[in-house]
Amino acid sequence: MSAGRSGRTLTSTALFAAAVALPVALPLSSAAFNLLSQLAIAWLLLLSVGLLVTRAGLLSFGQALYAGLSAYAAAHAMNAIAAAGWPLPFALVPLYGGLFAAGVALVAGPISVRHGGLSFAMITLGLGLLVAIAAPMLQGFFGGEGGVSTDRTAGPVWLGLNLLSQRQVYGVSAAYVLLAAGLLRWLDGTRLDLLARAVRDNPLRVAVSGSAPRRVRLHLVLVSAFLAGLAGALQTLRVEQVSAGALGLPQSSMALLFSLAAGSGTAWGALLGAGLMVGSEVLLASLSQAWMLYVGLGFLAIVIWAPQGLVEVLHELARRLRARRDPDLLWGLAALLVCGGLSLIGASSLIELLYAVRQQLLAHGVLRLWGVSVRADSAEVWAGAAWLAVVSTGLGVLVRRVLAPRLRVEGEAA
Amino acid sequence: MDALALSALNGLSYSLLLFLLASGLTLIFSLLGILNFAHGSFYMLGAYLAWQSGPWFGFWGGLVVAPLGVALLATAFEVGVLRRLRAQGHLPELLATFAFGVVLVEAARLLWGNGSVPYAIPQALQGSLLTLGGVAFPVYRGFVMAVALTALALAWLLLWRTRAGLIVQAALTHAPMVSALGHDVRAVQTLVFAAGAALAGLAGAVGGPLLITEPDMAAQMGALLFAVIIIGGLGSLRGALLGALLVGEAQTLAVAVNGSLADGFAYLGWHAPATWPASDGLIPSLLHLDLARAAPLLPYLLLVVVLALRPQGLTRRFSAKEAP
Repeated sequence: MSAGRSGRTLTSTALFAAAVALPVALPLSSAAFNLLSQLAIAWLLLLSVGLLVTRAGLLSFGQALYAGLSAYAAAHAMNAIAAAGWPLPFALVPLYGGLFAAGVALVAGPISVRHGGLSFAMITLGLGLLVAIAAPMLQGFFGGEGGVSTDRTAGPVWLGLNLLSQRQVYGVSAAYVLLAAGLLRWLDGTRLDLLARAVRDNPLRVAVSGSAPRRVRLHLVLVSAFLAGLAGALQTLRVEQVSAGALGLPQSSMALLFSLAAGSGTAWGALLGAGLMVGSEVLLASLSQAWMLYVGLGFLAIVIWAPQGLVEVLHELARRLRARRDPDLLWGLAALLVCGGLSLIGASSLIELLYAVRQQLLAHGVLRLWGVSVRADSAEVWAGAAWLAVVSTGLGVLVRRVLAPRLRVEGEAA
Repeated sequence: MDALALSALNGLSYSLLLFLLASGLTLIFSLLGILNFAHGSFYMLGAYLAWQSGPWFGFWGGLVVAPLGVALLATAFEVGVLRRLRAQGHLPELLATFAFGVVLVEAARLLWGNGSVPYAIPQALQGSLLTLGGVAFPVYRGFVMAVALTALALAWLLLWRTRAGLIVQAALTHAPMVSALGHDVRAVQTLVFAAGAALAGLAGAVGGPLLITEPDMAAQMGALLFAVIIIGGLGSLRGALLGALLVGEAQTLAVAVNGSLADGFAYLGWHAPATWPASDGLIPSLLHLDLARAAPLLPYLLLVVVLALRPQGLTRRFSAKEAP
């Protein structure tokens, strides 16, 4: 590694640490800190999934198994500590959650790591489903439908950390994010990392050269489960409640989808993915009932046009723009962005109109779309939205076609 | 005893429905290498299409419209999306089917609402086929068995006993050679995907009135299907049949049984301590869990047990080549 490269990584790391730690000192509202904590939790979960995909080529559809079980374990631990009056601060509970999840992985992992690829994906899916379906039936541990609730302020106060405010909860989450980022940095270039990449590319060769691929996979699964466990326990700390939904397949698959959509198991990639995930699960869901449809369509679009993930696309684009200062390319991209935005407005208006009509949500047939009040029963509104969607999509395709040679030539030159 | 036989018969009809679905999934997987995560959504769409077309074409027309509609959509998806991803290996394809499945379910919510729709068994197929020990076996369950068996027999004949079937099989193992002989390999791949989807659509059309037609049926059946094909062994039709029978019968028979692990241990002479009520903790609640209530769990338990013993499933060996 050259001095310049390592210098840049160091800057990047410092920048990341500052970005994570800075909000604690800012005068933000409680709701903002709540959102930031959600972001931190999503980041840990996405990193745990992304780590497996990028380092070892393992597709886990059952990560909620680790995050969910650890969330339950954290709730029980907090209740036990509070009941017994042990002098253990609740800020340490996520660490326990992470270790607990790693312990679960020690049991569940060996079943799933014998083969990579599809086999791993299917077995993690099966294990995840098993626990997700069993949980509501086993009242004793999982608390049935209602789940388990706890109180994050019931623990002993150390160094003024009483967890009363959302700021403190974010502070604890940020500390674990930094811990995980440190873990990631430490993992880079270790023997395990290199072996995992080798197993991803050619398991047979690794096996022949004397390291059992399944052991390498298991070690990586342990690290990944630890990260997922941190996320799960932090979630319990944040909402003071955990129910069977935490174990469900949607949890696992959303984490996997957003991790892959953003791309890579790097700290910045996971941050983009976490932003997208929290953005759609919190903000988009509050705006529209059809939010899952948008998530599905968006993900489909990413798989088709940017299968390597958004971070890679942005990175590549920035590199190209920097390499050749080409104003035409810049204008072309801007035009593409405008067309994309317009077609998004048109298409989503159509979807919202359809939703409003089908679900009979409207009192007087008036709907607010993108800040404009429209009548859902007027044909003009429908035609206008359809026109906008079709024309801007068509224009976008044309612009892309014109732009494609520029992008391609540069890509091949690189 | 009669009640048990009847349960087994019910289980058989459910198993055949599962197998109809699993065979489409297996067809797509073994011939294209794509694990189709949208299969449950295709099944759901089949049920909705059959119900929606009911007023125009009747129940019987729905049995034709649903597979055709689903096949058409699958063709568009294969040509528009999967084909352009093929060069990049199987992972993007798998993710694309996953996302497409989500889109389909959400579109169904959008069009038909979150709740169930009244897709009912037609008048002609109501009533009981036979009675065992005072309990009736419905005609409709027999009809489901007949439809599944007919569809599978036709698919089998097409694939293994016709020239076109031979070309399909050859195209998927020796694509360049078949292509050189003048056949359109890409069209064959599209055809296979559409055929697999059509089987799912048909299963939805006949399964819809038997179970419930609602958006959630996609996720439930999708998950169950994966259990079925993994238990049997990925890509093997024989395995899919075995898996479907095991899963279907286990679920149906378990509902008919009253008892828990604690009862089982008591039968063997070991009694759980009276200080262990069901709500006490993980192990006591596991001990006192009724088998009838645990029925939805059995497929996944079976899955984990089978995988722990035979990672490649019951019938098939995994080869290194299959890892995507």
